[in-house]
Amino acid sequence: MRDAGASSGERSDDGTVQVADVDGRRERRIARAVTWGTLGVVLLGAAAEIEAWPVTSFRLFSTVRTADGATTSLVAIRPDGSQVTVRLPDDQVLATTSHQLVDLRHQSAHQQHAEAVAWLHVAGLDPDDYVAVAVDRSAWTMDPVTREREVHGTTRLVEVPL
Amino acid sequence: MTTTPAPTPTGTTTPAPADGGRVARFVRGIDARLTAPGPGFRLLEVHTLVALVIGLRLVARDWSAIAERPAALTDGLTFVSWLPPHVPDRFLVALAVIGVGGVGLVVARRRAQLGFVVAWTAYAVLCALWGSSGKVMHNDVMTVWVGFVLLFARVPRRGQDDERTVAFGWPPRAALAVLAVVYWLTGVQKLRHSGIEWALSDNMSWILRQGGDAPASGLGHWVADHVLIAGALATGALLLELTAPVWLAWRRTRAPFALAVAVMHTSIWLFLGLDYSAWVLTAAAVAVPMSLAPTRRLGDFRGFGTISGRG
Repeated sequence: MRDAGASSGERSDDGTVQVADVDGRRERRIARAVTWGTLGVVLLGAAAEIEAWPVTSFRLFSTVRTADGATTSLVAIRPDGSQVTVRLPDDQVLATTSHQLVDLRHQSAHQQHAEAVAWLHVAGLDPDDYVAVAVDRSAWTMDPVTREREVHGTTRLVEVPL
Repeated sequence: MTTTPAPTPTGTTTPAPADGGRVARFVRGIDARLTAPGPGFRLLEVHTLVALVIGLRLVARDWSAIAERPAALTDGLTFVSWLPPHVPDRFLVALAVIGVGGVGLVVARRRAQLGFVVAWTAYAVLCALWGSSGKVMHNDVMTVWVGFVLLFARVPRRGQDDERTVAFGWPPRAALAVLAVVYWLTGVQKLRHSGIEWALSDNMSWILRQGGDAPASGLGHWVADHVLIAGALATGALLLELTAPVWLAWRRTRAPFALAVAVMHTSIWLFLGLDYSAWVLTAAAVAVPMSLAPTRRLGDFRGFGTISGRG
């Protein structure tokens, strides 16, 4: 096996640095810049809890789960006041939009309306059939044996007229 | 003060450090290991295997599903947040096809470096768009980061497989370092946010009980009801993550680490239905070739040739 770039700093008889040595030094600089630079970004993202994908905090199941929890749900309200829970499709792209529900109350009225209509559409519901949508937050306690969730309080976070 | 030359992992010698600081010696040691020459065939193996993982992910998903998400529901900061909130499905499918084409170039060893850049870029863009629904998605982030360092690899051309250069040596080691740090961080964040209670409380039991539909959720519930087993599962997972850099620092423990994370992620899939197969495959793609003796090729264990096509 040849060992190009293994040595460094050696000069030939005429005093010029050999090509392999120059390549080796340049490659070492690239190696350090890429490796330490990448690790630095990954570590900084985690330390500062930055979420700018692919920079992420790498928080995977990092909080302790207990019997208590809370669920955020979207309900559509008919003209007669009756309510229906809006069920989003199971596929990952659409299902995970439910993580935006809790922040809906902080959006502008225009954005709230746009998101509410969009959720009804992806759920296969006609917005014309409803007068409003609302985001509810239900606190629950899970039974360890039956795994049933006993809801002991629901708070309406926001109601968006359609 | 050390005055004798210190051997590097490749058997060459480097001058001893001028000062005797432990930290300085440690950093110099890491640097020497990172930048030591390595064989072309090892880089080729890792580069090709990671490209194949990317290719597998590109063909395994229906990326056009991204186009079904209304623009109003596109959310989350990613490196492609500057793109329009709604991307047509034709663009998404074309990007996936181009990415697979890039993987083809890598496997065929024709403009392999360009092929890898194309494949990685297509994959990273599609994953970023896939995850722009408001929830941070970690399923592909390991492959993206490991692949990122390989973007800068100077892949050996045909006939260079047996050459040992710095250019061929550092990329697989950098990939190994990224793998180690990412797993370590997942463990550190558990300790940071929950402390040792993450492993020693009934946390794992509740994780298993509150999981969604999964291939073996019944078994998961059985584990949840046996506190000692659930606690052992949590402790094992946490220890594995926190000790990842140690496992991956030594050649002989790299393959067992790949096997251990495969067991961990498979149990997560069985009990909770969460797909971290890209992590498993990426860990194997990097750690298994890097667990072999320096002169041994990945294909030496099989009877039908090698990735580098020796002989």
